[in-house]
Amino acid sequence: MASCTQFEEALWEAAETQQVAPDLAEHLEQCRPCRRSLRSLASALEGLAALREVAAPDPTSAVRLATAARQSRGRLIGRLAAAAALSGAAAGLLLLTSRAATRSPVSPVRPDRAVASQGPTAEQAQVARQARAEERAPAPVAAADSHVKAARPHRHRPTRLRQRPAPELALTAKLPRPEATPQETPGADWPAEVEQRPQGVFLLLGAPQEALPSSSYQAEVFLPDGVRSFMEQSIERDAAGEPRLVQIAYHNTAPQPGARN
Amino acid sequence: MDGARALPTRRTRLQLVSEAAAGDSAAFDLLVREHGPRVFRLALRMLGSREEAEDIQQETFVRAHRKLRTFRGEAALGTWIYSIAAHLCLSRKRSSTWQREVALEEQPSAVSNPASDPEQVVLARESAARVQQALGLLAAPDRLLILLKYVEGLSHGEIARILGCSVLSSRSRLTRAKKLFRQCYEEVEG
Repeated sequence: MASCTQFEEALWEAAETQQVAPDLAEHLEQCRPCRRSLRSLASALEGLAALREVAAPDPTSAVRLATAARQSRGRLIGRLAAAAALSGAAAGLLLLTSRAATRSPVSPVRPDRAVASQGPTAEQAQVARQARAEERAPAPVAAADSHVKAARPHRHRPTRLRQRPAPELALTAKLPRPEATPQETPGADWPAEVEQRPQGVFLLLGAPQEALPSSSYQAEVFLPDGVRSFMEQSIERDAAGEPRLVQIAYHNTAPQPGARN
Repeated sequence: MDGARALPTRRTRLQLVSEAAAGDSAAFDLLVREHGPRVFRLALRMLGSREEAEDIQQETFVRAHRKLRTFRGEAALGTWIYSIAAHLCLSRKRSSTWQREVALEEQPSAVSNPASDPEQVVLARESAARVQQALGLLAAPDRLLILLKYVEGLSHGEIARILGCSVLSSRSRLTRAKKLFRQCYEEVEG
């Protein structure tokens, strides 16, 4: 007797066509499970045919709506993408402009090329590290005469100068260096933080006078936190050149929130 | 909209496709009306839920509308649309958490012909319910093969086109699916 598995296809064909091939008929006479399978298959095919009957909804309006929605969504996405590209370009341009405006020739903070090649995150991290290190370190002294800076015992408030570097020092006049006097000499009387004062804009008001026998000058100092310091110093000397009277006067304005000099 | 426009003949189908691809919504409506019910039926039998079947039907025609320009006319339009629907159904089944759950939500409303013998109607309905149950026991690709062949009545060539395989491969896969289906059906019959 042939194996039942050989008649698998023949059973299906017989169920579909309702015509039994001779070799299958011979097998069915001897095989009860296959007879049962044939009846089962005929029933299954009837059931499969019955599955064709479905009350389908009219799809036209729904499909039309969905198609229109998809098209409008595609157009919206296109418009959003264009707007995003424009905004990105504008933001990039703005960023470049602002960076160029705030870039300091004194202490530019730039990442190493090796770091820059590692990607923007490494670059930003290195910039932040450099900025923090420079904030901790003593600030470089501006290229002004040392006696001008030492003349005012200004208590420095920490600022974020390195991240927003001030423009280059603008001197309108250059003072002759007067001889040091006990009152002027920084050291025991003047705290060391005077030397750590961040750079500001020194605008000298009035022309310097003769160093000998007397000298006097006024200065207005713009500090980065918005403080303006007005200072006047005069030294009167005798005929021998020895200082007879030293007058130093200064006045600070209050810090201006958000102001930057 | 030309709602009274007749369903297309074979000769006018390609013209209809080109009109629909050019943006003629009336032509596209005709295509939807012609093929929509079959797509719905296939999706319903695959997924067992009317809501999901309607989703698949919509998505099928939205995709067809978008890709209509790429239809080259090598296959019948129905086969092309079926292939979109079939892949959507398989994708939906893959994305769902259950794979071989029995789909009993939608019982067949079959054999509602009032001229039929009521006893036959009942028997056929029971048979359809068992078939649906047996189909639910099959894996989705096997279920799709059985449906395409015995519900939609497609040829091996058309099934091969839909599945994107050779006719020989389609035949062998169908043979395997039939064997599994018979086992499942007998299991359901008890």
